Amino acid sequence: MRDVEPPPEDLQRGDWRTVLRLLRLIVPHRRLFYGSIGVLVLLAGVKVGAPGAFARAVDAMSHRDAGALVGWVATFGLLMGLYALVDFLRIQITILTGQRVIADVRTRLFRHIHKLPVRFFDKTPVGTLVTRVTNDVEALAEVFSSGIVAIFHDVLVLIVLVPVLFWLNTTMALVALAALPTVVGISLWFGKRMRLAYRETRARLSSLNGFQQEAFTGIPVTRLFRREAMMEERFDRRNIAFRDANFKAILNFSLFWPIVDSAATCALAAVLVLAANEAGHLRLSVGELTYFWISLQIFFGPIREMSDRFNVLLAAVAAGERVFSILDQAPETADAPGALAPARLEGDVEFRDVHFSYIEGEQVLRGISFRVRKGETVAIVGPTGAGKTSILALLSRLWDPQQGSVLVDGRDVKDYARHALRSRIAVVMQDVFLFAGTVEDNLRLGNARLTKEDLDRACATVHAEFLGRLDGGYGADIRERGGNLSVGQKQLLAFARALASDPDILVLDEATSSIDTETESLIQDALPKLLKGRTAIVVAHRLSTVREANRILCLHHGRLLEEGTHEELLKKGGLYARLCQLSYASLNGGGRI
Amino acid sequence: MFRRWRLVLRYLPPYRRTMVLGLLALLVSNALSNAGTPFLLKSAIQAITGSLDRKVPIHLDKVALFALLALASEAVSGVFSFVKRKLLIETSRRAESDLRADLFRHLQRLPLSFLGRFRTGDLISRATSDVEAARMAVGPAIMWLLDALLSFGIAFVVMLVLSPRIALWTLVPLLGISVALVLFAPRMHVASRAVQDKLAEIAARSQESFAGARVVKTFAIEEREFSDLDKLGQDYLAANLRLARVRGVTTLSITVMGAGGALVILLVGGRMVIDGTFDISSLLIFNYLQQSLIWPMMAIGYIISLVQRGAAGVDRLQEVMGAGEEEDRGGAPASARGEIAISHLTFAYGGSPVLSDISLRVPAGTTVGIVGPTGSGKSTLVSLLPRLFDPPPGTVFLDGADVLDLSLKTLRGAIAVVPQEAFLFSATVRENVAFGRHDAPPDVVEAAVGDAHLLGDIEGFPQGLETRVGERGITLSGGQKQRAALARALVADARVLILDDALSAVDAATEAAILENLRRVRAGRTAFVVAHRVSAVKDADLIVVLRDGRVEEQGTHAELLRRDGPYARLARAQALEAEIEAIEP
Repeated sequence: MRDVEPPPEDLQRGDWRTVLRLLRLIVPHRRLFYGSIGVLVLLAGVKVGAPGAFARAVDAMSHRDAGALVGWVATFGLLMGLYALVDFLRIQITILTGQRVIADVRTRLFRHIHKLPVRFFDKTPVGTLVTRVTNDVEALAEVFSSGIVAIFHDVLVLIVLVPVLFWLNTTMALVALAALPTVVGISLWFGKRMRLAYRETRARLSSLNGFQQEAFTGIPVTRLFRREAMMEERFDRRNIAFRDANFKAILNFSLFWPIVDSAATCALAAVLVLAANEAGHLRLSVGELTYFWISLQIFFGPIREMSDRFNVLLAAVAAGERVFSILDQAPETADAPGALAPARLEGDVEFRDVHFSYIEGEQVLRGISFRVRKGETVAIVGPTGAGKTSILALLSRLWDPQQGSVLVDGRDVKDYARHALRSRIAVVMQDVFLFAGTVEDNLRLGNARLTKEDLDRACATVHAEFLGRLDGGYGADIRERGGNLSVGQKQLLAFARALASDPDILVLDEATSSIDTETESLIQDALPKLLKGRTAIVVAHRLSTVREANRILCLHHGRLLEEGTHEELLKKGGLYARLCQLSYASLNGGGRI
Repeated sequence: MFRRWRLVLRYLPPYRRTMVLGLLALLVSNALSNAGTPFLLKSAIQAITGSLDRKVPIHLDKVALFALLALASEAVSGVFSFVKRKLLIETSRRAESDLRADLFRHLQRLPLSFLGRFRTGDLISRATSDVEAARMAVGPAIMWLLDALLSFGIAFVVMLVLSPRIALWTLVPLLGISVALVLFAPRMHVASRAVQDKLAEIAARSQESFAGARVVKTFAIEEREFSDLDKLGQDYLAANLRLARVRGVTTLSITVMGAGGALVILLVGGRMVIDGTFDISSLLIFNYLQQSLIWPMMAIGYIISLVQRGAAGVDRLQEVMGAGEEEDRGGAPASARGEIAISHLTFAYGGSPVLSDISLRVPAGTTVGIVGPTGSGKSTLVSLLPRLFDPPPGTVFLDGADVLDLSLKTLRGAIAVVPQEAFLFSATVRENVAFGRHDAPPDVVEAAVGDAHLLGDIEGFPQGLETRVGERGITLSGGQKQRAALARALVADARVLILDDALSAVDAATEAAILENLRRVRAGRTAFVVAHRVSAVKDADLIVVLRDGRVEEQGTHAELLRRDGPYARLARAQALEAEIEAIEP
């Protein structure tokens, strides 16, 4: 269950800016908006006009005029038919407007989120982002399809109705109008009280839920220490607090309707007495009396719902604020003007005295320099926390180093257009991320130019033919995160995917998790084929990978400690030699580094 | 049909007097607003129209009297309606809170083997959404149903009294409304489900897209993501427009039928007025009462959906409420020496065995170290001792008694556990440490905190021991949490102490210091130390190496090193690791 935020208590000063921004969203759809206004004007006219025909029909019967009666009843019927049609139009056009607007907002928001730097994703839970593009955006639709539109409609009706009432009878119109501020006042006052009470129940509920969440998670601890009674007592306190907060909300809610209804009846009683007086002086017919009566209902109807509409507006403003706060986040620095976007890269990579930290003061790389020439394979090894994966992240410019530079083909990566650079570098991560969809979707990743033969060839080369043999072949469904493939199979798929994109630079973070022996040998065989003929940087865990690399970089605590081939480094008897020893000695075994 | 509801309905009897009062209020309020007020209004109008008709002066005082009476009737009806809502909805909230409390108590006592089937979020949603759905079904839904039936019934009787002929005629368009509702309600349901589903698809797709944001960047496949989402957005828009159409048609037919009712009243009634057989005031009241016939018909659909939702909620509650609690035979208290024996223990959570044929004899006061790869059954083994899960009969013994025969209170009182995941409550550090013994004197708490090597950390906290942990307090590091959990177990002062990989997040130096302290605390107690590090178990009286649920080897540290088996390999690897870590660049 996703938590729906309660509307804030009231509009704050700064909220008007959000309201303006919300209104500005409608600009691209202004024709629809004008259309809705046209429909609303028409609707207001019919709504005020139809009771007039009804009233005339009543007058006709009081004059015992059968012909006029039929005529006015027919007119009333036609007007009501028209009203029903226009109302149908209103529903269609307002919802269309609201939905068009939010489709835009969602598109903008979604694109913007994907342009934000990696740092943003580290500190924002995914669930929050999902709420922004779903529930919050949805709350905005409400403004355009019911909130603002409904308020607009109500005001329009009043604008049309009030002159008519004055034209009919000034005194009675004044009385009806006098009741208006009172009822609006009551409605707004209760509205605020109800919102406050509602917020209180929400707060109590979230405290209760928080407690239950914790209590349920901690059940084993509670059991082990035999504290069930204490937990129950704490639960009871919160449970009762929630119940009592509800009582307060119920009190407000139960008072609201009778009071608003009685106020409306007051106005009706006053109108009746006045009407009697006016009719006695022959200034008012029975029909006109009827019209006043019906008008009062038209009058008070919207007021009863006013606080609801205000709630919609408040909720939308709050949601809008949350949406705008994301849209206002600065995206990744824009590509430099005239950024390089070569169709292919040579594949020459160099790190020059790179210093890097994710969090200020916690250095992950401390002055790393190395060069990988075109077509070379370099293996990076080192204990956990040595900074191996950071090197990969810097190369695809997920992050920028604080000091030093990363060069591709002799140019700083900052000189390239991000998209061009990233699309020429293939990355195979340790934990292969698969999208829900078909096998083919995951092999192509949106590249429509790849033919079926390209995919077949790629799969055959890296021993991923099994993908074509799945139930449904390349069309086979991959469940969320590839839940129906084994770790090893996912690796092979990722190899095929990387190969199919024919990258100039390949970046690979070898998986450490255990893979069944059969798949393991497939992977060991496929890897050299994948690396062949292109520049490759591999964070290596397999001895076989390390042995076949042109060079090994041995990292420790963010520094490059040793560099050379397997034999050279073994002979040296330093960190690398120990790491090799450890991989043999480890209880989990298996020649891993 | 009614059996399912018993689970919820049994919470109502304690409040039956309130409920009866509430129902009476409902009746009075409804009768006044649907019969009293209309008749008085009619009299007021009649006083006007009758005089106009007969061309005699209007008795203003008569009109005023009836108008005031109508106002009074509406006001009194309002008071009763207030009483109705307050009593009935409050009762539903009371019953809800009682039900939730019982659910909580029950959950506290369900076996972990049963609870393990549910995610915490699932339990929460049962305790909130499902309880709420059940409340709506037995509270407000019943109230609205009675209200709707009464409103329709009373208004129709008033109409019959005024004119049976017109009353029957008004039924014709009402029939139309019910046909429209029967026709469109299922489509409306389908269409709004489609909207929900599409929104859920957007949520799922963006969830995936945001979770994989890094991947999207590195593969430079933003365009693919955009076009996928745009397509879903288009689908969602289309689904919304479909819903708008169904809604529009439904509203249209209700408006048309409502207008039809007014037309019928005007035509049939109007002719009767012209004939002099019907009064204009009655005709106006007819029009007024028509509303009381229409809303109940629309409300019924909503009430039905509330009841359906409630039924689904009750079923989900029954799944939990119907399950049996932990078995507690409440046997004689153990002598609490702390001798543990395990004999031919084979255990499975359901599928294949996690532990196979394990036998161990642990004399009181000795320490057992347990090592082995992840998934070898170490944690399962120690969780059977305090019966977090029940072992098979005749396999696990405390001081010679089968743990199944001991009362849970005694058994768990004799054993203190530091679990693998150090779970702390959002309370102060002191409350957490004294969790097992609320009356623990301050010096005991402080000693435990000292032994767990947490004192230095706590001195750095803003309020020392009174600092709150978690949500609205200080977030403890993994190591601090583990040490707090250790202190909590030490305060409990039990004969048997179990450390289930309890120091994994503590650095090696601190671990050594804690182990030194424990050696003193452990004196005279039986201890189980599950660990990944050799350093944590090397002083144990017995070390057991588990693999795939079986004892692979056992002995003292020296014996196992001599054997040169897995344990010796592990010891060497860890020595190397320490060496590598120590290399200074």
